[in-house]
Amino acid sequence: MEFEFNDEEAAYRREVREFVRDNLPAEWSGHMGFLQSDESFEFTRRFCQALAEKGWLTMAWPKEYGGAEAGYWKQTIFREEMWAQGEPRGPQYMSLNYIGPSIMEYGTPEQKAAFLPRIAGGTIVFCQGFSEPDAGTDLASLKTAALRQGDEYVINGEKIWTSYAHKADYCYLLARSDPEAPKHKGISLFLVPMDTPGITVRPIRSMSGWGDINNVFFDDVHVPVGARLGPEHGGWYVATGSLNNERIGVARWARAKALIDTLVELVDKPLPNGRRLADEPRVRQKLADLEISFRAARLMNYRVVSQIEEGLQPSWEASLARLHSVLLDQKVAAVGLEILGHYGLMRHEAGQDGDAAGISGLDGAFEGAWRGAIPATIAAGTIEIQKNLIANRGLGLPRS
Amino acid sequence: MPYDFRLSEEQLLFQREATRVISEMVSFDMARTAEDHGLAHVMDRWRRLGDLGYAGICAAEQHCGGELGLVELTLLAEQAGARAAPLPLVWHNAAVRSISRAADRPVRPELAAELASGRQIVTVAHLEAGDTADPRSIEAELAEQGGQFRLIARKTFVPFATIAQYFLATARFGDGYALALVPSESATVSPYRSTGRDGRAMVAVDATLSQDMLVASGDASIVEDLLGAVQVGLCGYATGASRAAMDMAVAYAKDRIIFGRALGSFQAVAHRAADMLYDVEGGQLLTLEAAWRIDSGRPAGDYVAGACAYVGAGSQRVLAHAHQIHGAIGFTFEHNLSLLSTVVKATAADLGREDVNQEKVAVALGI
Repeated sequence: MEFEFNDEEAAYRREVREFVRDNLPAEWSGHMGFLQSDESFEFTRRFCQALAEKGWLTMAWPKEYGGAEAGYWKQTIFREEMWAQGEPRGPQYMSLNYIGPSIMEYGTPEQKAAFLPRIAGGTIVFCQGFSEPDAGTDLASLKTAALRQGDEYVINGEKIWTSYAHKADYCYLLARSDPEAPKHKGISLFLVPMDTPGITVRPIRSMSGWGDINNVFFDDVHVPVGARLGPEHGGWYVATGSLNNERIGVARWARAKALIDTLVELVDKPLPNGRRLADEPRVRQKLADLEISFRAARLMNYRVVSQIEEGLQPSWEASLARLHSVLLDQKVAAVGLEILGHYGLMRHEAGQDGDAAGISGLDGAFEGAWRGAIPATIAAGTIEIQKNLIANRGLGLPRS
Repeated sequence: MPYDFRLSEEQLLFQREATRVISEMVSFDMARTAEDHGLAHVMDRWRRLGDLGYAGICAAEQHCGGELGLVELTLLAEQAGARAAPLPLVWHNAAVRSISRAADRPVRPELAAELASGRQIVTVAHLEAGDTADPRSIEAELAEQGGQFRLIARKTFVPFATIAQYFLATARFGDGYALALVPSESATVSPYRSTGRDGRAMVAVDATLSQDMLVASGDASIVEDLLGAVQVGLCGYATGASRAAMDMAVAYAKDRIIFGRALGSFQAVAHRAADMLYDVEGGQLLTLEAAWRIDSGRPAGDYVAGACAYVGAGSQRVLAHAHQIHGAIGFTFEHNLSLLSTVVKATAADLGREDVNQEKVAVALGI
C-alpha cells in the first residue's frame, strides 16, 4: 500500500502550479462564469495552445497522436491542478478526456488525421450533443434523427443543455439512425461541424447567466457518411464508453480542496468587530468535516486511477467516486455560503471591490461554486443513476 | 504507484487466513451468549486465536509477535467486527504493540511473550470520569517511590476488564505521561452492564508496581500512539461490522419478495444500499490510510481523527439503513443484525465524539 506522492510527482505538481499561476490573467475568476465573456473563452484557447507547446495538453495520448504516453497518475496531478484553478482549459477537457480517445479507438484514418492533431494543438472546441428535452437521464430515448440518404445523413431534431455550443467548432452528436431498432441499438455518433447549414444555437439563460447551456436545433442538416464515428447504429456503446471517462476525468475534489483552503484563510482573518470566525467551534467543525469529506473523495477517485493504472476497468467504483466528488462539491459550497453569509454571496464582478465588502480576496468564489455545484449532481449522469449503477453492479441488486 | 490500494502478497495472505480463521472460530452465537452470560465462554476461542498468533500481530518477533503493522490489525478487526465478535483483539493487540515497542523500559521478556501469545489478556485502561480520550484529561497519577512506582487511578469503561489479567493504564507521571502495566489482582474491577457485550468495568487502582511494569514514559505522544492504534483497529472493527450489516441487507433485499417483486428492485431500497456502500468504502479507505501513516512513521493524528469521525457516523448510518431494509425481523435478538447494531453503537462511543475528532482535524488545517 502507498498513500503518498513521491518527490518526482510532487515536483511535477509544483511545476504545473507555477505554470498556471504565471499564465492566468488577473481577471480570471478561477471558478464559474468563464463562458460569459469572449475574452475569457479566447483565453482558454490560448492557454490550451500554451499547454500544447509545453507538451502537457495531450500528455496521456499515444505518441503517434502527438501525446507523451504519460502515466495516469501524472495526468491526475495535472487535472487536479487545472480544476483547482477553475479549469483554464475551458471546454477542451472533453476533447482530451474522451472525444479524442474515442476518435483514436473508433475513428477512420481520415477522422484521425482531421481531428487528433487539432485537439492535440488545442485549436478545436467540441460540444457534446447528447441530452434532449425528452431524453436526459433516459438518454437512449433520444429522438433526434440522422437518417441515411445515399452518402449522407440528414439530421433533424433538438438538443438541450449543450454546454459550449455557442463557441464550439464541432458537435459530438448522438442521433437515432434506425428508428425501427430497439432504442439502444438504433443510435449513431457523429462529428458535426457547428457551421453546417441548418444548425441553430439558442443560448439558455441559467443560474450561471448566459452561455453555459444552450439549445441546439438541427433542421435538415446534411453531413457526409464520413462524419459518423464508429459503427452505424453502434453509437450508444461508443458514447457510454465516453461517459465512463467523463465520470473519472474531472478532478472536482481538487477544486473543492482549493475552496476549503480559501475558507481556512478567510475564517482566520479578523472581522470588523475584531472576532475571528475560526474561534467559533461550529465553524471549525464544519471546516474539518469538509476536509474529511475531501480526503474520502480523493481516496475514492485515486482508487479508480489506481485501478486504471493496473489495467483494470473500474465499474461501480467510478460511480462511487463520482458520488463522493459531486456531493463534496455541493457541501463545500453550502458550508462556505453558510459560514460567510452575505460576504459569500458577493459575486465575481469586474470592478467590485472585495475589500469594501469586508473580506478581500473572495472574488465571488463561493457564490460561483454554489451555482456551479447545483448541476453537479445532474450533469453527466444524475446521482440517482449513479446510485442505481452502484446498487446493480456493485451490490448485485436487481434492476427496478 | 503513488497511491497504491493493493495489499501486498503477505497482507493478502494474512487477510485470507484471518478471514478463514475468524469465520471458522467465531460465530454470532458468541455475541448472543455474551449478552446473557458475560465473556467467560470466549476464553477457549481466545486462547486458540492466541496460539495462531492473533494476539501479538504487532509485537516484536523476540516477544513471539508477528511484527506486522496496524494495516494488518485493521484487516483482522474487520473480520472480527463482521461477526460482532466479543473478543479483545483490538485492545489487546494495541496494548501489546506498545509494550513490545517499549525499547527503553522493556517489560520482562517472558511477560511480553505471555501477552503476545494471548496466554494472558491485557487491555487498555484510559478513560476516566470525563469520558474523553484527550490525554490532558488524565487524572491518574504514577509516582516513583523508593525504586518502585505507586499508581492511583480510577479508570472508567475499561473494555474486557472482566477477563483481562493486565491493564495497560495511562497516567500522569511527573510533567509528562506514562503507560503502566497493572496486574488485575492489584485492581478493583466493578463491571458495568452496557450495550457492547465487551466486559466493560470500572477499574480502580491504588497499587505499588515494580520498575519493570513501567512500559513507557514521556510526553503525550506515548498515549496518543497507543490510542491511535486502538482507534484505527476499532475503525476496522466498525467497518467490518457495518459491511456485514450491508451484506445482510443486500442479501435480504434480493430474496424478500414484496408486491410481487424483489425488495431490492425498488429504487428507494437500492439507493439506501448504494448509500451504505458509500459509507463503508469511504470509511475503509480512510482507516487504511490512517493505519498506513502510523505504520510508515508519518504524522497521523488528524488522519486517525478523520477516520474516527467518518467511521463513527458512517457506520451508524449504515446500520440505520440495514434496519430499515430488514424491517421488524432485524430488530429481533435472533437476527444477527441486532448484534451488529449494538457493537457498532458501542464502538462509536470508543471512536469519540464527532466534534472532538473534527477539532483535531481543524487544528491540523491550521485554524
